[in-house]
Amino acid sequence: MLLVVAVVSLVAQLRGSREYNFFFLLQPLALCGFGGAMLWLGLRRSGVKRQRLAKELRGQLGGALLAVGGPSIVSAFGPGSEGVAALAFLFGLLILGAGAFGAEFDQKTMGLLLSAPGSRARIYFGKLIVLSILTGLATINFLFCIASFSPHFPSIDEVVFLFVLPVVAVCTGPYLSLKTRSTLAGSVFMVAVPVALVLVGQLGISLAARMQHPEAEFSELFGRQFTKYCWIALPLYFGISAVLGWLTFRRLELREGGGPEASGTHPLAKPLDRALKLFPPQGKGRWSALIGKELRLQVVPWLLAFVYLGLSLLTLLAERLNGASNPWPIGFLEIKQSLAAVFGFLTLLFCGAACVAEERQLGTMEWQLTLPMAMSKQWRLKVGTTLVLGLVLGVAWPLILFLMSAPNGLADVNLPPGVTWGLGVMISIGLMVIGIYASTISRNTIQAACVSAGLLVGMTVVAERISNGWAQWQKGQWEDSVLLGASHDLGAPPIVLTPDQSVILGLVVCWSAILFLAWVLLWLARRNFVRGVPAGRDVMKQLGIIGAVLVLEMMTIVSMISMLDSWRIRQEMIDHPYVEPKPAKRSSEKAGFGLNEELAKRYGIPFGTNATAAKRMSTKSGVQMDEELAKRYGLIVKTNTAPPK
Amino acid sequence: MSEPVIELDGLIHRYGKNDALNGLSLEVEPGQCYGFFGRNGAGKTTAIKCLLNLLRPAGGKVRVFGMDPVHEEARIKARVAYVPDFVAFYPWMSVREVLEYQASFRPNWNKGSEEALIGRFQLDPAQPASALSKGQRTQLALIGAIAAEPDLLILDEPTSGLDPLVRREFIQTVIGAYQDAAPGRRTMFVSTHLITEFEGLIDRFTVIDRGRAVLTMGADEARGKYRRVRARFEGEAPPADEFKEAKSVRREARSIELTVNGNGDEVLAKLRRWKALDLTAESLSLEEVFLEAVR
Repeated sequence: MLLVVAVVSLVAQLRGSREYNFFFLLQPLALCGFGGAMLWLGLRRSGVKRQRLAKELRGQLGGALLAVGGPSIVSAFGPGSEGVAALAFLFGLLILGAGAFGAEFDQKTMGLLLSAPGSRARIYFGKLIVLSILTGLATINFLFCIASFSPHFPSIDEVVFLFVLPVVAVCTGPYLSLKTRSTLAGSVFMVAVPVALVLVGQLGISLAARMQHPEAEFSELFGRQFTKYCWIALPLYFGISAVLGWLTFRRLELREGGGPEASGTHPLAKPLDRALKLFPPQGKGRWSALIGKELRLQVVPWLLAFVYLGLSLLTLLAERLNGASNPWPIGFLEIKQSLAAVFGFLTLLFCGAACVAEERQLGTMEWQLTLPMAMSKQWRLKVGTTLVLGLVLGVAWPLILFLMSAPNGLADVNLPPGVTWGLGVMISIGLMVIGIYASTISRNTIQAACVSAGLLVGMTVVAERISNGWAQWQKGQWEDSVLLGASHDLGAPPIVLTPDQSVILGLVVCWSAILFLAWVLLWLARRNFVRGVPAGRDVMKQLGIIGAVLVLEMMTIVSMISMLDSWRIRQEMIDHPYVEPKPAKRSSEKAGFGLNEELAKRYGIPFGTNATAAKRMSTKSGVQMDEELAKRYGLIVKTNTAPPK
Repeated sequence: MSEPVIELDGLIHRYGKNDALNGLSLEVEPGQCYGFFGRNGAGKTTAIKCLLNLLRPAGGKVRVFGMDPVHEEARIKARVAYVPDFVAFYPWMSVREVLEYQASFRPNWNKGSEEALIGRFQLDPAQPASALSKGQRTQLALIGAIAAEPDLLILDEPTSGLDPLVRREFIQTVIGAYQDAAPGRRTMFVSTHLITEFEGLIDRFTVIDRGRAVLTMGADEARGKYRRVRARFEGEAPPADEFKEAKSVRREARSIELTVNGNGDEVLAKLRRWKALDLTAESLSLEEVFLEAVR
């Protein structure tokens, strides 16, 4: 699969309209090498060690595909795709780091692993070696990805920061996932713990500094030094985490049964249980019981919301205490925006992913479905609860915390108009619906989260490619039909929208497209909910349907935009009849002479060339030219009264 | 004649290219304790899931209480309780909360029965479901199923994971009491490998093999028809070829053991002609009948 990703990445890069550099070639080559190595290891059946290695690689495939394949495909489409590429890379690294041991709990194979003949040290360090190789290669690949379309190689700070990430995955992932007995919880804490430690450290230092120098500014005292302290503390954090990881694994005991309920994120949610005990306030009806159950099933979004609250409060405290707007040692990261983006995105993703898969993971799906309530009602309630909870925890909650941490409240935030908020909500719902669909084709939440992220990347790429390609083709179609007609032949366009109307119509079209796609995804998801996890062949068929709908939607939207644009141009031509008269264009195209600057740019013809041919052509045919062109070539503007010969 | 509680007619279900059910047909009358026996992978759980609309069959007819599970699933599920082979509960709930959760869906929940069964199985109501052992989870599922007082109780390997003491207690006391409380109305459909444990309860049974019913019979009828005949001879035992009407023949030097299906008298007469010295005939247990059916 990675080889396919490499080929797609290479093709996409070759077809992309941008300047290339050295890394443009290196990145797909690295990817091919990585994919080839995995394929070779996976295909080799002989040898116990190789089989173990192949098993480890297979177990890490989901994370590896995200961390390596995601950025490779997305970033191949050039600048502007860095955000999605970075999200895929980071998410993949988290899954890789926490999944090395967490997946053994998720798949209930930890007992099997521990009972295998061989010392625990060999098992532990074997996994660590595979993890180091995978995360290292993924990071190199990501570096090549961003370097391949960047005019400058990333700065040394950025490169160092980038290479800290795989170390975070290797050193802290095993410990946190072994402690929480879950890939999901482990990956959440992999982000939360270092951020919290940095903020707490900074708070402590600034408090101590204030006691010694009450009048001094934080930036004067520790502004520069703090980053150094962080770099000193980092190896310490990594070392302690790595040692604790090994000690935890060495002393690991399997709880009763070792089943899904003995591990995972649910034991972490005791405070949530106490809070939900109050919900609903009265009554023991089946609806309230079901809603309570659905809310409790979404343990990861709750966990994310609580962690985000904690980190936001720490950020707020640090800001207030230090008077700094960005209390964070890494200059190029804005902590508030980063937290809101990461936690908002992850909450929405996991809300959808946990919808059905969490229940499948717990093994309670069958039991739940045989309770006396129609499956369709259970489905509607499940989806409704998920969407509402996702919007509350993934949109409203980050927004509230973000606004709270802004010193001047709403005044600091350039709030977009209502329609854009609406689009934001729609995109959030779309993201959750992708998660819900992924959840119905997966057996556990982590698998669903990986599938959701993969689907998101895939759909982004398809939408981007289709819209670009179709837009180019459409542009030629619409403009030719308009521009080849003389201005006096043109009828008035059916509609000409004002810029405001265009924006509103564009948003309505986007909303409709997202809603329709969401409806298709939910329709397929409902089938899977009722019929169980579909077979691979059925999944491929469903992905085909989703792809077809997406392609049709993008083509429709682009066609509509092109048509409206051409109507606008037509109206402009009617209003300014000398701009592009038909004979002038036809003749000039034949003669290949230069048009005026604007027209030449639009048609990709070199501006101001072949003046002799222009003169000859216009003299011969007495062709009408616009005033500007005529002036440029020293011709007299005259009306073309005679029919063209 | 009353309407069958369960009616399967030519049921077909496939997982990809594999036929899980290949024209399965059976009928369960009200008030019966119906055994559903088969080897691993024979299609028992698939058939049960089709009954509960957890799987959609590719062909054939499914009716529960005369209703189609696809279109009237809520009405069917209101009268059915199901204990799956793999029992799991929400880990954040305690034993009491699991039962309260189930009770919220069941208007006929029998609180007295719930309390009695909790006491009988010695479960701690405050214990978290995540701390229960496999056997205890099965017990909790059984309490939930019995206290719901359903008209049809579907049990899929209900005694797996239970210790022998609890298993006997459950089968002889709990299940017996459940049916006796409303004789003729409460029906049980039991899929199990532990046929011996349910020997005394089963009224009628179907043996399923490769998705098809290979034997459907009343328990008493089976015991009457399937018999094992043993004979000892003074000299060498007659050759096995002589008893082609028997389902199986095991011959030793001076003795012979035959399993017969409905033609026991004929075989006995033949053995007498061979001057058997010591001749005994005994009914087979349901487990032995099952083994003969799938062999």
